[in-house]
Amino acid sequence: MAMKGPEPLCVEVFDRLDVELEEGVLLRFLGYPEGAEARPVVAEGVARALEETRGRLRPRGTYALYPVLAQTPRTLTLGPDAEFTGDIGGFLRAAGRVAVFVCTAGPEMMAMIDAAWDAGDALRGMILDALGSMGADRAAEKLAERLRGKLGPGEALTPSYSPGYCGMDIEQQRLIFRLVDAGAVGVELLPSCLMKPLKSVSGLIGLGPADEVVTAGSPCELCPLENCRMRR
Amino acid sequence: MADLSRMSDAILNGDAAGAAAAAKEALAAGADPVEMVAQGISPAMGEVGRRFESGEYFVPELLIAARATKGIFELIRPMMAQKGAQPAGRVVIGTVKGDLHDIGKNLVAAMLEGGGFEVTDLGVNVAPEKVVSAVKEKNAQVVGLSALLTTTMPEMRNAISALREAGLRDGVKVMVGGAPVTQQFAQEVGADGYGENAASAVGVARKLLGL
Repeated sequence: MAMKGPEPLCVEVFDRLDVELEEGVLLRFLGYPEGAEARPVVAEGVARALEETRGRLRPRGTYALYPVLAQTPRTLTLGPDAEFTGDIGGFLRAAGRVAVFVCTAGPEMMAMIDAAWDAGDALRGMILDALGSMGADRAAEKLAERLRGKLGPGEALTPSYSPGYCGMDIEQQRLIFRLVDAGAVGVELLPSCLMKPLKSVSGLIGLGPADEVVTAGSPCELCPLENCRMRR
Repeated sequence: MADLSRMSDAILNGDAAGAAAAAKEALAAGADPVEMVAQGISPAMGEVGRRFESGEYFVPELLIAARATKGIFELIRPMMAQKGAQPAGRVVIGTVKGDLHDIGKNLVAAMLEGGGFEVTDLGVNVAPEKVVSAVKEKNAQVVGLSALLTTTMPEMRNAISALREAGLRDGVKVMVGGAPVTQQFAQEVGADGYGENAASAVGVARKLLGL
């Protein structure tokens, strides 16, 4: 699919990102604090969903790497018509290159989630929904691992920052989808700026001098929604 | 009065099959469905809520308790209807136009069903006019609107405006919720109630209806 925008330094498409789906992490996604145990019926549902999902989940992702042309605390320019605005400029300070990425847990996961809710099985629906979120997040982490191969000596990656929070308005999804061919991994941008499949993650990851870029912490630390179920 | 403790324990443990079996036994022993709600289901769900608030239970435990309760209601609702007893309320619920996130809305719907409400789930990406027609068709007393995105939150105001323009606003209570939604936002858009999480939804709906 042709994209209108600046020319990327490189593009990679990962048709399958092998991700780990750990029970303990899934329980965190379901709202259990560290160390808390689920009741047997929930634990059984979690084990069953993990078992079924491991064979069917096919997370995938793609990124396009761009040089940063200009940067201020409130802007990040990757091309003549490719300027991100908001706090993202400060978050990615000192990044010389930025990877624009889209990852997804895949349509197979959404089909499982929808089937559970359609069958009226709320517990299974909730568990699979959490698994889908986890799968998309893990795909983004795997993609970041692959991106490490692009680092030069003394460089590091920033955390990933996504539209809708992290100092970027959700409308900036449109720019992300101009800069990376999300269709290559089957992700579509809807008019509302949501992605289809819903269990997908998009965003920016900076590459720059390890002693200058922000390398630690969770983007959630920047978010004012302290009670958010998805807070990491 | 039949012993309802087994049914209550099954609700607390999220044991849907056990709860239904205990409810059948109670009915066979002559329990009155209305009393089963008042003396068994409501206190049990109250205890589930207390355990959630104290951090002993988490959302999945709420869900399985609600699922167990819903099964009992499916059993006793026809008998209650014969006696002229009504559901706790009729709710129309949906995720607002432009938003496709349904997990929060689904959880609230499940909790409301477990709380004895009759719930019509309109799904996601629900346009204001669809809310209006559903309220008319179902004679709903409560509308629940969910949004996960700051960009779709304004649709809550549009839905409320549509209800007002259709002349339905005075006859229906509107409750809103979703990760970015706050009490202040709820007031700004003219909602009657705000639920911080799925667990609070039943309490908010009951309060709005003066139950």
